[in-house]
Amino acid sequence: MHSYSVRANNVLSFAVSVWMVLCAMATASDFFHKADPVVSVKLAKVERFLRVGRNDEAHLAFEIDADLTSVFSWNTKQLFVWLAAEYSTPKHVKSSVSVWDRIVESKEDAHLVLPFVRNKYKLVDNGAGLRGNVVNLTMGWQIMPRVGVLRKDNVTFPAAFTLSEEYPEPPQPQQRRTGVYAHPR
Amino acid sequence: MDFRGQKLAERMYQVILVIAGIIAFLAGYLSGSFDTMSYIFTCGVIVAVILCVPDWNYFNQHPIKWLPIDEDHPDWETKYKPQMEAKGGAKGGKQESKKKR
Repeated sequence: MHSYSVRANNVLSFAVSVWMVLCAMATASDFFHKADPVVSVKLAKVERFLRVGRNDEAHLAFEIDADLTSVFSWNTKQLFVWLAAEYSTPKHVKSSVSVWDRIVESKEDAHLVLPFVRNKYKLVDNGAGLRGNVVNLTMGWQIMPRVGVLRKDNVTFPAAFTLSEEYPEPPQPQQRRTGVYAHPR
Repeated sequence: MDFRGQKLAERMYQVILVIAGIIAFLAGYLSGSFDTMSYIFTCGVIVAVILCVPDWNYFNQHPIKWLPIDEDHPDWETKYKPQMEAKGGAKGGKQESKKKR
């Protein structure tokens, strides 16, 4: 404490210690935060359902009304919201395919009202097991805090929709990727 | 800065930063804004640096009192230094021993 540099060092290091305590308290306060999200997800339409090569593909559209405003606490930076389609086939007992997601950056944008939203990522089965299959929809969200631990939560809508027994359109061959080296035949 | 000043400075920044932290947390939590907490605490840190780091007058209210120079406690400059120099001094002897071989 006899020189400027020692005093500056002591003041700043003690400031960092106090700041760490504040961050720990902010994280602890998150555990007392009560959230009651109101989520409703329905299938709006199966826009396409076909077989491409060896795999089934479904192009979906959803009706989403999710009020995640109460999930935001004072220590929340943003939410990562996603929609997963879950189903079971004889080949793979549990399949979960992410079909849509969104980053919610503020409390004002946290009420998602999307009457007709197309999937960002089409539902592709590993195999041909989608015909007549019952699909669950799960909306999940990860709560990214400013400081502290990442938490997540989800709501599942079991048997949200059933895909048709027959393909409404003829199958398509798997498109060869362009720009990839192909073996000469 | 004297010794009491150093103790005062240490106690001052501790009190300022802890109070700033309490105010910042309450303000941030009650207003629901993490940024408010950051700003208020940063202001507290700046206040602590301004008040505790420079050598202000209030840190020099208790200067060290040295004992007076008398027969029992003579001044080194006037009494012992001439004697050392007359002997050849610590300087000369040591420097000669460090000659290159």
